[in-house]
Amino acid sequence: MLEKKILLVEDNPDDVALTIRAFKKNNILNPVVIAKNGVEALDYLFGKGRAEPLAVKDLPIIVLLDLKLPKIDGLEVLKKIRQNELTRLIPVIILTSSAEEKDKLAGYNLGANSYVRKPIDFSQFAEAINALGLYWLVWNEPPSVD
Amino acid sequence: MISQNFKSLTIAARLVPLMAGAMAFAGGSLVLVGWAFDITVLKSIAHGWVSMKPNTAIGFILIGFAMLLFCSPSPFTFKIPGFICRIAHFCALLAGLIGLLSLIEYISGLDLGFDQWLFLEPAGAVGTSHPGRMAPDTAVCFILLAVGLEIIGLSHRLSRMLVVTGMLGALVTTMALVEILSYLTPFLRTAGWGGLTMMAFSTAVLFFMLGTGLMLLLWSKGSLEPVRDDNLRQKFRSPNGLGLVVTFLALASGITATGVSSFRNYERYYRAVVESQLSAIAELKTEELARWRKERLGDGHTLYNNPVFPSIVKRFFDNPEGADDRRSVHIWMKSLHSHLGYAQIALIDSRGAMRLSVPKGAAAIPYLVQDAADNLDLKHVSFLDFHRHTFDGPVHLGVMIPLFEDQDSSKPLGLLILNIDPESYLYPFIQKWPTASLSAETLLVRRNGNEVVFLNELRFQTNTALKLCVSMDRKELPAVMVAFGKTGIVQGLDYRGVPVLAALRTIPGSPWALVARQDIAEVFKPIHERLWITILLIAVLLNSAGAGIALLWRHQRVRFYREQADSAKMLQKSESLLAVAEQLGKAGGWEFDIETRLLKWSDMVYQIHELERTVQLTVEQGLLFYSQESRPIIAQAIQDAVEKGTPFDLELEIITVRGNHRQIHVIGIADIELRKVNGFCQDITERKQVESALKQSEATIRNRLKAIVEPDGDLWGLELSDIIDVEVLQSMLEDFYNLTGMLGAVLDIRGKVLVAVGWQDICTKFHRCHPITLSNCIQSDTSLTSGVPPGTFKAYRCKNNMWDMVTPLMVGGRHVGNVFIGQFFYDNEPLDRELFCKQAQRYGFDETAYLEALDRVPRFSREALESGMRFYVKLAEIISTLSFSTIQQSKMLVERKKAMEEIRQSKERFQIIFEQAPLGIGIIDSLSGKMYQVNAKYADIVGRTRKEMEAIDWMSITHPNDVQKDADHMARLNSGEIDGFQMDKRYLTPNGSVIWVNLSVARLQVEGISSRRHLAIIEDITERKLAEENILRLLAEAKASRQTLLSVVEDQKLAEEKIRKLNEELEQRVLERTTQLQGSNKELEAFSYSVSHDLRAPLRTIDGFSQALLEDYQEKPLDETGKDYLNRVSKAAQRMGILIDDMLTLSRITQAEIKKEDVDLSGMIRQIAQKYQEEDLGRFVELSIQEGVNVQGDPHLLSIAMNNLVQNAFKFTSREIHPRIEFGRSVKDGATVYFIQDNGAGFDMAYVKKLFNAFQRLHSSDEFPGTGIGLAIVQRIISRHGGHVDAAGEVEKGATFFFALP
Repeated sequence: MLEKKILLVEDNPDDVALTIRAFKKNNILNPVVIAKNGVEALDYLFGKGRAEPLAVKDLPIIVLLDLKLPKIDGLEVLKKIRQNELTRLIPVIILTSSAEEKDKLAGYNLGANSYVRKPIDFSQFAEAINALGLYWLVWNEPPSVD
Repeated sequence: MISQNFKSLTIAARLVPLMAGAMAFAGGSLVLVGWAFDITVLKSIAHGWVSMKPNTAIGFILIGFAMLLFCSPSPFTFKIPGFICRIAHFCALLAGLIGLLSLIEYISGLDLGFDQWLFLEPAGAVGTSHPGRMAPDTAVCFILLAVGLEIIGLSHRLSRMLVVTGMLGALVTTMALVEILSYLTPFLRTAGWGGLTMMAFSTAVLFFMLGTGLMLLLWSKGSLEPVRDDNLRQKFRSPNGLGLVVTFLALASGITATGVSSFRNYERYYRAVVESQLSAIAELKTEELARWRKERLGDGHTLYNNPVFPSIVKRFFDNPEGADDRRSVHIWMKSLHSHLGYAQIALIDSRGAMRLSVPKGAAAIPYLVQDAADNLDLKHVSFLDFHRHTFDGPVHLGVMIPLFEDQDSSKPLGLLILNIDPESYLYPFIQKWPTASLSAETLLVRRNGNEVVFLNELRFQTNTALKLCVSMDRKELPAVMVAFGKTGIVQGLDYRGVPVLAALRTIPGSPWALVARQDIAEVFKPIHERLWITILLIAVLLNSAGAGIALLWRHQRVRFYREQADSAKMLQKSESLLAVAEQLGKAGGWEFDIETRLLKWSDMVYQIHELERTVQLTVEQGLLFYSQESRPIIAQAIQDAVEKGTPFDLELEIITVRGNHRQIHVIGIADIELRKVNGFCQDITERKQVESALKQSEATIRNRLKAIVEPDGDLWGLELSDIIDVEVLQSMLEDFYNLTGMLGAVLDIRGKVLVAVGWQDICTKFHRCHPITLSNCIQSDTSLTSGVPPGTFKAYRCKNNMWDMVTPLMVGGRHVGNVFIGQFFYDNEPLDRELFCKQAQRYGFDETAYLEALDRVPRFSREALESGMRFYVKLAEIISTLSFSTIQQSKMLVERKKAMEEIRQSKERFQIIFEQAPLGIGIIDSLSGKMYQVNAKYADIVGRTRKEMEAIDWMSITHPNDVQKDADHMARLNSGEIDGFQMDKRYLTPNGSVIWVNLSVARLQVEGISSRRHLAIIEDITERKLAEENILRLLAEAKASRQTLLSVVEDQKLAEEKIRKLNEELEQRVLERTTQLQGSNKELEAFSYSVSHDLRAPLRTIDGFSQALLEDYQEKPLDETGKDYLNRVSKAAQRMGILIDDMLTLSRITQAEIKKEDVDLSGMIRQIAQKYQEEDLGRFVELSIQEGVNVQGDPHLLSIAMNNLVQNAFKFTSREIHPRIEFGRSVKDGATVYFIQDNGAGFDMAYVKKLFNAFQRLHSSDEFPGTGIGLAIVQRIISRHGGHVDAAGEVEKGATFFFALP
């Protein structure tokens, strides 16, 4: 479980730093792969310029996805993840500051597993990360992809 | 279709026996039920009809069951399973046995005791001689049916015995038919054969069906052996047995109907004869009796009316003693007695005493006195009817005559009685019958109250006269009928209870009636005989017909099978022929069934595939033989054939079982109706090989010809053998070899040996025989020989370690082959035998032979070889030169011929053009101006003949006004100043009219040198000129009228223009307003989104990192991380400030009012750029700003927009080594646009649409800082001006932002 990667798609370096700090605080020690925009996230997952797609064992155990991203936005990324046979079962958690009902609905419609709003208060944010980690990394049993 | 019909006929034919069997079975069962519950309807259909006996019913059950079982075989195999067969045989046998036993009973007269073992039948049942025993003909029918069924079950389908069965069936049918008919003939119902039990009606019907069923069963067994081969079935229709059976039935009904109708006719006629005879007899007797009676009464009246006799009697009475009177009376009486034949005559006086009698003392006299006593007061003559005086006394009758003294006296003197004895005349007369008959008789009867009294003695019963009386109730008796007054012919039972035919008459004037009767049995005895003869005849005829048809059927079948056998033989013969043909043509047939997919191949097809004959394949397996390329083609073809019926004809490749590739020609045709695909398959491998060889050689020849014939032909395509004369060279080399013993050879560039002389065994028998050494040879001949300069030679050791010398053979500067001296060793060089031993071992050569061959290899001195080789070098040079010059020469010849041909053709073409051109063409002498040669059109245009044209120059026919101009042109042309000219000019025709032409004149050039002649081409443009003049005139007129109109329209136009402008302004304003509203709406949306997302981000950062600081640095001093945290907090706060500013800017822009002024964009941009340049001193950005770009717009807003664009450009070029920013004006899509271009980070055109959205960024803020609002502001400002923005770019290649302003 520990070697499984977490894919964090976030363009704001501060939020990246805070999220990683929150992971550490909550003893979530999985390696975190950071994608700064939608294109990078998709490239990581589906391999642009890489001859072969990501091996099954290298797939992230969970994807934390910000919605508002440069170039390709989060919803688009989510759509691509769900469309691909390889990645469609990876749990995707939308982690965003947007409280718009529209975004939430779109997120769930496209198959997000969870939708977490980034709270302004950091302690709340840390708690949210903690809860996320507990649930998705400890309790949830992913389907066997093989 | 035929086979369909045939099948349905078969089924129909099989249905009849099936139904017959079922009905027999059901009928028998019903009759048994009838016996069990005593139901007359079931037993005998109606009262007074003969019943079906229980044994008969059992027989029907058995025989019906047997027939059902024989019909049961499955419809397509026609084989009856063994156990069913045994049951059927058993049932049939049992039924036959019952019949046989019954027949034995009849014949032997014994009662075996099984007649009534089930049910008792009362004695004397209708038409039954032995109660409970089946009729003899029923028994016979059972036996016949049983035998028939046994034969069917046991015999082979072609057996002659089946004909017997057919006849048996026919016989049963006939017998049943006769019985049925006999029921329709009423007299025959009383008794069957020889008065024995009759067949019941229902029995007869069932037998009729079973007989017919037997015949059809026979047919279905005999002829319907399924023919497996569909073709055969179509070709040879099996004889139509059903037709024959139908024919038989028709024939049988015809025969029977004829027989029956002739019999009925006869019967009617005979009956009429009998009846008239009977009537005649009765009539005769009646008349006679009446006459006789009248005579008797007449006798009486004679005496009664006689005046003498009473007076004599009176005298006798008065004087009884007077002898005379007594004698007179006696004489009278005596004469009456003797002449008139009365038995007795008595004279009674009035007191009743007898006075005289004749003959005297007769026994009957006292009875006469007694009779007289009752009739003393009689007034008239009266008849005394039959009577007896005593019970056993004789029968009398008589006439009584009262005697009166005179007419008036009322009291008679006495009574004379004339007594008649009936025995003497009357009875014999009555009994007498005019013809010989065993049963005929006449009866005389009299009604006596409620009885009928028989008056005479009867034939079959004695002592009946006046003693036999029958009641009037017995109306079936003819005697009773006549007593009731009925006359004529009747049928009834007589006193014995025997059926009789009778003629009835009453005797007029008497109470008597006459019955003349005869037993029906006797009357119709001849009819009976006739009937039996008829039946016999019918039976014989039917059987003959049946037998005839059965024979015919058999004959047909024999012929059918013979034809089948013949055709099978023919087929075999043609198959063997086919096999031969297949063998010769390497072709075979194939066929497959669409349903089963099984493939049938002829032997040859198996051979083509090199496959064992015994292997059975499906289509899919068959397809596997085809090569990779061919398989889809044939699969598609077969699919099309199966689905659409398209035939195919293909040439494909197969790979045989042994792996050989073969070309085959496959043809297939689908027969959708038969669900089959047939075809043909031919091995065309050889043909293909020959074809391709032919093609190849043809190509070579063509190539050679081409190379030789065409000037630019490709020498490279030529084989060396095409160029040199191999034969001459061979003989030359042979001579050389003979002289020197040196081997010579000429090989082409690919190593192909063209000429070879004196080759050594070591090469021909060893090296060139083993694949590896051979390839060594060829490689040596090709690769080791290259690169030798022409005119020199080279010596080398070949790859098989032999010495060779080579010089190249060049043709036309190209290396086309080599000339060799080879396969030798130097005489001063030791031979390395070990090397060759190894070589022999390596390639498996016979070592001794190899070494022997090695020893035979010649050895030469170097000098000898070199001089030999020099000869070859020269030879090669000669070959080269000669060959090439030959080729060149022939090419030149061809070229020349071709050029001539071209010239000829071009001349011809020119002639055609010249003569037929629609333009006038002429050749003019430049000095004299004479027309050398003009075509027909030229002459035609100028209105002269060609001959006239030859005599005149051009000036003499030109319009005087045009002569000078034309002459000027001509002079310039002649001087060489111009090469040609064109002008419109006029000619004058001989009749004075003017012709306008367009004249083109050009100097004629031959081989690039100007000649004295010019080519003139003229086109008749007279009409065009006239039209032009017309148009000019019209235009002038139009111009004048337009001028007048224009002033009227002008005013109206001005007004319209005003309205249009107002409208446009209004529209513009509405448009602006709408754009503004849309913009602010969008802005509002983006703003709220930003508040919820972007504004929160820095807040979160501030909160998060201050929290982290609080958590991590309560106890310890700030380290680098701590400082970073603080830094982040501060940056986030700044960022938030910028965000808020930007947002305010954006919203202000949306609301700001636009004041348009002239704006110097170039200046504005330079200012902004300088500002950024100064801010960032560490970097030099190359600026290129187009001067003098002025626009109309709000200077404040435009400066914000330009600021953003320039700032962007600076920002995204920050990583460039040579950053460059350009501003300018250009034209895009036909409209003026302004652009700011940089060579910075650029962007992906895929996201160009997102570029101008608020807060949308393509780069994360650590790459290039920013809020994502700058371009949104730019767009807002430009669109508020009513313009639009656009961008173009490429990642890492810079970006260009365009904007247009109205």
